[in-house]
Amino acid sequence: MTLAFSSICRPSGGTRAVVGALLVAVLMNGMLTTPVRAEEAAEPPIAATAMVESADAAVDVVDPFAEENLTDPGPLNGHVADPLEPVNRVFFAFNDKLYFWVLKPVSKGYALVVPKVVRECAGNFFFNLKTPVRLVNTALQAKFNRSGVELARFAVNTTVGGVGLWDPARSWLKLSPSDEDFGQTLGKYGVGEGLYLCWPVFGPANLRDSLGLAGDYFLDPVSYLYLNHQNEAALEIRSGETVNRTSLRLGDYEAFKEASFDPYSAMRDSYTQSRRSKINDEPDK
Amino acid sequence: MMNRFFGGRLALLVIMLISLWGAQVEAAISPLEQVRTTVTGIIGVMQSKDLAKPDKKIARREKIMAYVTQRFDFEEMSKQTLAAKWRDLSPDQRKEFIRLFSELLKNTYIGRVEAYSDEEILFDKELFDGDQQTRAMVYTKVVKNNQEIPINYKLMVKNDEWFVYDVMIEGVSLIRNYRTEFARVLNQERYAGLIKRLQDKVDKRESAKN
Repeated sequence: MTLAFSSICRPSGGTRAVVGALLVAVLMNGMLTTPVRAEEAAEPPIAATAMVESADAAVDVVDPFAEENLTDPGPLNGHVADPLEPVNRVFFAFNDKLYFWVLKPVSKGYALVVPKVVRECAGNFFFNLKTPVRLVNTALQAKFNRSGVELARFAVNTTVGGVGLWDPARSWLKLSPSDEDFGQTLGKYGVGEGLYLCWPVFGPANLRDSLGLAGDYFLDPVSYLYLNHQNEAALEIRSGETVNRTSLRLGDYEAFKEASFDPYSAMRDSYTQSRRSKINDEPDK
Repeated sequence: MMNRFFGGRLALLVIMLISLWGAQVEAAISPLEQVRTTVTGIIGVMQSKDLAKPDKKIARREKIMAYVTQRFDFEEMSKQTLAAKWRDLSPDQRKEFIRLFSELLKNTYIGRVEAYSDEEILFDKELFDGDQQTRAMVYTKVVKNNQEIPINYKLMVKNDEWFVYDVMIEGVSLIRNYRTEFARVLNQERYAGLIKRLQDKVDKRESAKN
């Protein structure tokens, strides 16, 4: 039910160019004025989170085993710092409308015209293009086996896989990609989440992951079209990618909304849990 | 001579160990296998051309529900979701909550499986919680559009059988999510408000189906 946020809210919206610079500026400013350390982030800043905390504490009586007893660390217990909730809720509502009024109808029309096989190939192509993000971040986390796999995948898929349109590295060689980004790398190095943010267009993030997104931006080849003053081309590619991805995950966000009582907080909690579990994954495999 | 003696002893020991281990395994089918049976069963129903006909809609749903009900421990899920509040409920209230919550969980879970029924599912591994082996985690992955979506099941043993008490999709626990959501509703609208909201969700779902 929580798959939705990664489909519609993963950052790669068309207006990234404009927001990109703004984002960095805002973040730097935010980081300087409010130094957020991991310990501080763990403190509940507002009363609303105390309720969640007490629920967790009470459960410890009923549920003494949980994830700790398994080898897999799983998501950490803890709450989410969300002092900007009123603003975040406005942007969440904005993104919701953006999905239902613009992204969904466009993606649906696109899906009617373009066969699924073609859309999947397009998805593979974009995914292959983002190899630098995964390569650099596996290396930064000292997951060198995974970096090797990324290199091998890129070599195979770019050549035999027809410039990345197909994924023979997975289907024939059983080489699966890693899910790594700069936000996770920062998390591995001990950078705290800071506070939760819901960006317009980009969707759920936190202070750390927003910085991560800015970092990943420079590892995405499409970003360099901007340097060549091919702003329009870059914007088209980004929009195309978003529509293509959404067309393959239509219904996910609807299902997520249907399953939750308060979609805003459900997405905030899902996002946080998901990110924590990704950061705490196995060191190298 | 000595070698043969020890060799014989060793063989005996090995046989004893194997039979002991065998006895333990026989006590319960492995959690991974039980999850596999349930998931492949559900996907089988979803892919069945015969059951896809419009007049078989109810039969199809019932078959899927039967698979889920057989493997999921809804009482345990309800207990963990409500946490401390569970103790304050009367037996009737508990029954009512389990009924509504299991309806919601089934819809949520089946919706997810339905979305991935055409995709490849990998059953990776199982892990146990130390020596007692009363709880386990089964790791599965759905391969969808160049993404591997991890779906992990938490199981506990009851009468030599394994039952699912939580599903974690992309690291997000279904139970944990609802615990937080319910805590918020309980805080603002009390138990009656929670039941009403659950009922609304289930009704909405029912009317959407018909």
